[in-house]
Amino acid sequence: MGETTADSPGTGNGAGSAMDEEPAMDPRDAAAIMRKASEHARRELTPNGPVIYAGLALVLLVCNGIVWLGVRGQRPYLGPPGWALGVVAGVVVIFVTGYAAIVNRAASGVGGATARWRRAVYLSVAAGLVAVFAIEGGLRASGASIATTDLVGASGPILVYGLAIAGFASASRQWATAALGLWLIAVAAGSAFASATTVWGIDAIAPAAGIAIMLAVRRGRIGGPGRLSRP
Amino acid sequence: MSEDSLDPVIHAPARLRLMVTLATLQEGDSLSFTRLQEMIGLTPGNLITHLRKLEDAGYARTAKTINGGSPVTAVSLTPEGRAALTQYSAALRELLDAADATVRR
Repeated sequence: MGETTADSPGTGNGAGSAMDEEPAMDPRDAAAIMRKASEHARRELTPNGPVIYAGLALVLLVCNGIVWLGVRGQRPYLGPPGWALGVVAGVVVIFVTGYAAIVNRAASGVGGATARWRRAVYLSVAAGLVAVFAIEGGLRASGASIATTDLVGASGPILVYGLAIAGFASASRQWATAALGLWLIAVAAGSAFASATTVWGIDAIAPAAGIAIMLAVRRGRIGGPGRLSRP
Repeated sequence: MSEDSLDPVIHAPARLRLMVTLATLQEGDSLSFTRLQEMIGLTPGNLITHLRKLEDAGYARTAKTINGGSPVTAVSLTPEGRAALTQYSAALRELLDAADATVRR
């Protein structure tokens, strides 16, 4: 995020009173300018929250669903097969790439508290995910069964997303989104009591359903596709 | 109420668009000169002229920062600028409401 070329206005060419003279503006034109400029700025500077959350719902549904398809019927439980993990990796890469494109476009040139806040959230989520997989590895190294460690692997990421979403949404007073964060936390905690096979199914459907409900609530409240600030 | 009640610093097409665009940012945020220019569609010289007028009125501020090793000019609205835009918007609405009421009579 930042400018690749020196961004420093000089004295300008021809800057002077000639350019300062603008035609007289009718109040109705002023109102129209305000409306259009406001809509344009919101479109440009605010990442499309509904698209991002819909993408997240799809990723959780597809990734956890694929793994569930791969492990159901396993007796004993052996964990996700290689092909499932490959599909998951591909889907995650596509989502992260798309997410980065959407957010970077909106965030380009924006500095200040929002930029710092966004970086903090990303670092927290990344650290959380690394910690989840480290815990999984530690459990496995200490002799825990794969059925036990995969409960952490399935629910852990959902817990991390839930904490991040609940945190930033509460700070931004986006209560429907904060409720989604709490829902994800509850799903992560509750699904850990399921079997290693069932946890993937729960973590496929429940988070996606929660996101769909949140988006519907926000759409109904705003009266149209809403934009969430600071996703 | 007449058009004289509208703040002349804000009541100009380019400066109005600038103010509204910058007001979209959260308080404490700024927008780079380059991005602002791209969004508003003014030449650099024209944009500088209008920004200076807003700065002279105390509505906007510019600051030079370093981002990734490159100098960046960051533009933001001051609290006075946000308040002035709110007042302008209210005055404009009153003016238009009064005009509509006159037409209906």
